[in-house]
Amino acid sequence: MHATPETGGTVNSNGLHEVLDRTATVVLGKSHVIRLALSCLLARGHLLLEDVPGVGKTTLAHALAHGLHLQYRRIQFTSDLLPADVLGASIFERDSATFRFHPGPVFAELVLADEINRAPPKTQSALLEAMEEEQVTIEGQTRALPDPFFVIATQNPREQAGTYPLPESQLDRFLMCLSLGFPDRDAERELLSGTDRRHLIRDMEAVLDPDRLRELQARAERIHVAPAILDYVQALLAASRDGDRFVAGLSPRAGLALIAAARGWAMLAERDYVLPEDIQAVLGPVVDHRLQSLDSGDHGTPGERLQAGVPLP
Amino acid sequence: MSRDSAIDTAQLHAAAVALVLSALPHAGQLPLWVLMLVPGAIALRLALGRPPGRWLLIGLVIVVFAAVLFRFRTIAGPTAGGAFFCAMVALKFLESRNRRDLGILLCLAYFLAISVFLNTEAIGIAALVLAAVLATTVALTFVAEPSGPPIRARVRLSGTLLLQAIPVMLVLFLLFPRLPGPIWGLGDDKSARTGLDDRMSPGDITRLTESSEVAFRVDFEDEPPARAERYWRGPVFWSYDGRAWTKGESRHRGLEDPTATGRERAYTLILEPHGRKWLFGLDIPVAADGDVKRSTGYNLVTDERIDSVQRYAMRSALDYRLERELPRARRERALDLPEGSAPRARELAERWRDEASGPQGIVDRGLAFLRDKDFVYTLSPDPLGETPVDTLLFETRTGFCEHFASAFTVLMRAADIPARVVTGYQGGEINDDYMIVRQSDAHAWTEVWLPDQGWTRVDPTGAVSTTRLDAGIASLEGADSLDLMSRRDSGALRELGLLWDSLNHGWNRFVLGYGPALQKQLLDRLGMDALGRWALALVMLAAIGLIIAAVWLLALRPVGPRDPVERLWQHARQRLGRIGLRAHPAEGPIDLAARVRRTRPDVAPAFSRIVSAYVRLRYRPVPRDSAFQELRNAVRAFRPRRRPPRDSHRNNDQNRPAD
Repeated sequence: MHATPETGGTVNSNGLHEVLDRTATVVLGKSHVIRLALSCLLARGHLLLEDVPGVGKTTLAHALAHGLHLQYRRIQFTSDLLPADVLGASIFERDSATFRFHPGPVFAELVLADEINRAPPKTQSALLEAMEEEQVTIEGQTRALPDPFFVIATQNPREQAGTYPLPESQLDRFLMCLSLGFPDRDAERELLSGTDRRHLIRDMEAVLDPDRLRELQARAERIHVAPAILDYVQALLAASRDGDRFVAGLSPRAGLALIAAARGWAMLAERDYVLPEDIQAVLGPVVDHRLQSLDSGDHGTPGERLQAGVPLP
Repeated sequence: MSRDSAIDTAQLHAAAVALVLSALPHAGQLPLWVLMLVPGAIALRLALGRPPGRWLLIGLVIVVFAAVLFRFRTIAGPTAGGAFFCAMVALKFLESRNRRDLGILLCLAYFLAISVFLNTEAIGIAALVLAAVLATTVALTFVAEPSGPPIRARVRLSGTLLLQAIPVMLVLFLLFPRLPGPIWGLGDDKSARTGLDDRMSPGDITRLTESSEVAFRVDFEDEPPARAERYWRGPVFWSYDGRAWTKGESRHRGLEDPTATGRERAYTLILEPHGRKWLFGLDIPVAADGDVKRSTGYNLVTDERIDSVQRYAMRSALDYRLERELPRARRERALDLPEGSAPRARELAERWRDEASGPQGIVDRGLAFLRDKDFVYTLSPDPLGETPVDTLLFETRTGFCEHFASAFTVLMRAADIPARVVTGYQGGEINDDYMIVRQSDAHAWTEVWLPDQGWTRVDPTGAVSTTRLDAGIASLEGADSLDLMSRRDSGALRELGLLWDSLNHGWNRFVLGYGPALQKQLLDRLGMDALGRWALALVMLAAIGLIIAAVWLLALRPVGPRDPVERLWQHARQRLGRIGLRAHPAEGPIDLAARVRRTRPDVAPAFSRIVSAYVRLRYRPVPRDSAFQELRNAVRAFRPRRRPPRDSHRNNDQNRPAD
């Protein structure tokens, strides 16, 4: 009897499964989102959580940071936040009579940029540039950001008042855009009856450490992507570009993101190769925030429509 | 790049092979020296490695032109023109410099190959032409794609191309307006062809029997007639000059139709070309389709010379009455004897006339004379000299059918009984379901006119040798000199010959015999009988256009995956589809397997094996293990049942194999 490759791994030797399990005990009923968030992390991507306040966005970020033993900083974006508040600034010290750089909260391994769309675009850009280049240049000096470096940004849906929506070019910097959604009935019940989530996080033991995470990220990059998978990705990209379904098609960067995310997903499934199902699993989170449907009459998210419309090669 | 370097050796060799094969069917049709020009030119060109100089070429053209003109006195006509064309094609090879030259040369090679059909349409030649066309197409692929696939792939490609041309060929064959008569109107003299002549002198038919060539073949609609009844009527001779018989004048005003007194036989006669304007019919032919007329001797004649295989649907009456009233003019012609010829025979005949009671009595006396006086029927009779009839009857007493027929007719005429000589064939061999009549079956007999009965066949040969009519020519003394195919002793070689003849018969019947008459029949059946020649041509072009469009669409249709792994995977998915589990095109293998597990747990283990092997082959790094074998075996073994077994929902967890 041959073993059938499964989408979900059963035996976990590298601790990732444990991270998943522990996080799931804190963020109840959201194991799929947790898995996607971890894939994003393994793919060295940044994550955008888009949801109404109070569904556990911060808790998720916090729990992940704890489970992975990452240095965690939270930046609450407000309308008067300045770039220097994010990146840091050189401050004159009277003792030594010199300017000394005080690194901002971005110099952390896991940064939670809370309600990123409340800050003015200038501040948003400061963070996003740092994310893109993995370094910060202030007053002519370039300072590298830590590795691993993982940003989880949250934002309220654009309809809410007092926000500066991220433009498409900025959204492209995020590997995935996830939405937690309300917990289901059972999870909510447990949430309501249980203890404070923050205590749970504080009690959480670290499963991995940054070194181990770096190693896992490097391994994820080596996961085999067969020509058939590349064909499939190309077919998806092509389908997003032709026709009149979307305002603009997916960029090659979106294609790279798709493959990287699928590698992370495959790694969580304990496989050293990517399946079409992996691509499909990450398709929505990777492309939904990059595509804008032309006709609102269509049903389903852009990712769902792409997946249904493109046969496996 | 110089112009010479545009041709490489492979192209030149391929063209040489094509050219040799295109010239090969002409062997036996064109003079040997013309044919030898082809290998000669090839050898010269290959030895030189480049085309020869201009002056040498011009000199060669002049020499070849002069040689053809000297040999044939013309350059027109199938043979002379063919020879000239063949020689020029050989010279074209000699001067080929670049790919364009080779392209032209190969188009000429096609024409050279098919031009042999102007001279002969035999099936063996057709096979050779087919080989030549294939070789020429292969050579064209060399010209089109110099550094292309290996030769075997080229042959396969060319074969495919030719196969694809078959529908077009069929439409052209069936619908191309057929013209009566030969295509080539220039007319070479075909006197060399074997067959009955329009005059008969002693020894003519004897010579003919040396040939086993087929004269014609016959398909009877029902049972063929008995051997003794197989008289095939050919030219009828009235006029005698003391030695040779000729037709005499052939006005046939007021010729009455023969009266059949028995059942008529229907049959199809497929006549080999003999270069004459007559055909043959079972005695006595009462009807024939097409352009056929009746002559005064009730033999059948045509307006056109028969230079190609012809096919006639005919009817004959084996029991008949012919011309009960003989007009005076014809009676006189049937009694005419040249002055002073055969005096002893005349004397004898006059004695019979005086002694016998009536014409029938005279005929009986004549036959009795031949039977009783130790005449010998032989293929090698003694020479007859100046007075052939008297010498035969009273001295040598050895002869062949034409001698006896001639002598008997003279005797009858001398006894005041109108008589004439009929030539044709007697006999015929049954091969499978048709009859072969060969030149060696050539025969001559006498017809006498008797009051009340009309013309009556009397075969004096039958009186001399009874076996000739029952057993045919092969029973004859001296039959050893006969051709293999005319002899009776059976051997493997003869069997093979008959098999070959059977093949030829089919070829003649269905391919060569398809003339204007059959085409009309076909069009009648297709409901296109009202179409004129031009409308027919339009229909033909439209049909060809449709075929090309169909081939085009066929080539554009989506084909299944070429990758064997994908093909096997598709098979498996199709089989799932048959049991109602249609896979979505965007559904991944694992998802599909999960769905199968949910809906049809009985099928799941077998399908999981397929998915496992497929995923390994398709998505894993370096799948060089036994996965393909496993996939193939698993897909072959995958025969899901349409309905799940009744208890399947109870042992979901047991992972029982589906079958």
